[in-house]
Amino acid sequence: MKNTKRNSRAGSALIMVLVVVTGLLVMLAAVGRVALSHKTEVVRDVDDRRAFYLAEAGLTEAIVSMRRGASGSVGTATTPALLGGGVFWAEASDIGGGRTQIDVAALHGSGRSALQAVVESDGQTPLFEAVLSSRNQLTLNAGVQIDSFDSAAGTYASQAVNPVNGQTIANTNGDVSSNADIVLNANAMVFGDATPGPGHSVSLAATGSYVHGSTTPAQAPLTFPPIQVPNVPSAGGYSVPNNGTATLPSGTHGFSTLDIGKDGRLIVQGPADIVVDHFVGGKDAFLEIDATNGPVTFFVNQSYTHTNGFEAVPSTNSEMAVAFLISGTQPILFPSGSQVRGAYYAPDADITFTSSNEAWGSFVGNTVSMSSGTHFHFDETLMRHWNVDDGSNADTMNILVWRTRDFWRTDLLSDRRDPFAAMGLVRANLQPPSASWIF
Amino acid sequence: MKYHGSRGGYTLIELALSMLLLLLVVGVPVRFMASVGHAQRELDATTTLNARATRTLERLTLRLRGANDATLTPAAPTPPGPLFVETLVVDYEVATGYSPGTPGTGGTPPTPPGPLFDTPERVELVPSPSDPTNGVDDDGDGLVDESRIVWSQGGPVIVLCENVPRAAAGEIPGNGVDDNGNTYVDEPGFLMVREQGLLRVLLTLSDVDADGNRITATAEQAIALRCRP
Repeated sequence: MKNTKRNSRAGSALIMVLVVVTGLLVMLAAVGRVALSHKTEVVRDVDDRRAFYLAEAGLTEAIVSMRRGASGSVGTATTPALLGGGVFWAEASDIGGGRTQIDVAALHGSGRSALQAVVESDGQTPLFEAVLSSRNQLTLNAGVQIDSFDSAAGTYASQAVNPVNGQTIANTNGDVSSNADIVLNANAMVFGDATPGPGHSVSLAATGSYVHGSTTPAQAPLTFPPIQVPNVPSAGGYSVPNNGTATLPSGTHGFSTLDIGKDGRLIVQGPADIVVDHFVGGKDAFLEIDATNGPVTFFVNQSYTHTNGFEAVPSTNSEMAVAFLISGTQPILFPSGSQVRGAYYAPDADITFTSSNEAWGSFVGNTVSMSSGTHFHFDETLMRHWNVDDGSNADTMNILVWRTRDFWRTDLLSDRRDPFAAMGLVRANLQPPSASWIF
Repeated sequence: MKYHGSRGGYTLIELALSMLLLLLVVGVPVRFMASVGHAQRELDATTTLNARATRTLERLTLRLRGANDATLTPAAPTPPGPLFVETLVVDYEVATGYSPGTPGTGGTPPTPPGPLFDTPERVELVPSPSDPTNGVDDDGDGLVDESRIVWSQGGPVIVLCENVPRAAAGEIPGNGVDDNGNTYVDEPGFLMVREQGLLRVLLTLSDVDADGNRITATAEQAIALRCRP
């Protein structure tokens, strides 16, 4: 009897187990689906953000290409540019009035993003845009400090009232740039952007080094346009006697040698272009610049000599709008204790600040080196006076409109596969952005 | 022969010792698990708060990047003078496109080509309605006088973020000192700083986790204003 009772209940446990297991499987499937959906959303969100920044990079590339004479279009919808694991293309169209509309589409993974901008060229590219620019690696030694001011608004001392990062400075447009790396040693501070060359980087020392602005590498190398020396006949040598004073009126002048004697003072009234073979600033002498009516430009064909105590100064209420455009490879040396003012464009020469120097202006050289503790102050007025047209249409582009827009390729909006699959692209056949410019 | 060994009991001392040992063996991992759980909850809460801060700044960045630099208020400072202007309110207009211009017809003057901008928008820091500024934690959430970030476009106000404390991380309110060394003095948990061509946004969020611990998240973003007509 007992055996029969036991047999009649045999197998009932299996049914219960099956029911429980089935219920668990259903719950597991539901949880798994929720988790998968959440993962898909997170991945889509990350990819959308990547696509957005890719579109931003594409817009920057388009603008850079326009500055180099291209149309502004980069890649095409069938052959986009390849960047950072995604693709983008930019379509530029002339809308008249010197303005160009650029529409950029970018895809990264399942992300899609589109931007639109309207840019216009102001036809000018400043020759001096940074306080230090060099072809080769730029090393800022310990304690070097770089900021900016505007001599058209007064003296540096009157503008240096702003506390930033524990220092008191004037303004934060003290940019530095190089076609190679930029190295900041201990406590070197750049109150502006530090822009290394393409593929290069900015190195910051562990102790106290600081960059207020961007450290993003340039999209294209710095160009150093040749100096277009005016054809001015030489009037021979010109000297200011020791302890003497002389005035050069505005206009065009040509000399073999311009020599300001010891304790002498030469006043130059702008606007003036002065072509010399050799420039000598004598001991404790002064070059006074009166740029009230226009800037003063020295074209130095062979050598520039800056003696101890020589100083260029502005006239009362004048901005310090003076530039030395120096040809040749002869090194330019600023002796110990020099107070240096003005812009120095010497792309083939090495510029050296020895010790205890301070400089207000802009310095462009093959290399620029300085001792520890040197302070540089970029004079923003320099951007307003010397522009360059090197024939490559390297104009400054101004963005009038920037906005996100609908991604117009609706087929790719619904197809969220990786762009290489969705667009039928072969990665090996795609070019980087710089090789995708359309002229 | 009777065998009593298999039915032998334990003495009281043996029981006490074994219970003590059991407590030690079980208690240590339980305590460890409790502290791990506590740390996990705090980490989860901090991660969530950080994500909220980041998302808030991303939303602001996306909107403000297309703002008109020329009309955004407060206006950019110009030298000589201060390098930046601190503000809790910005008013701006966002570009929506570009108009090719229209020729004049009849009595209507022509319109020149130029950017098109949307209705002005506003982002500002306002006191939280549930905890007005009175030095008291009115809503009992562990935070005193917290604020919220709101966005509006001439209509209903949309809350972008809650739980903004009255002082930024590391800052002691009202002492006139830049305690956290970021250049700004006594700044609240949300601050916008207008500089030339950009708007710097600093955000601190504060909350209390499930165990009653105060957690803080900070984020900062420099937003380049791209439209410069």
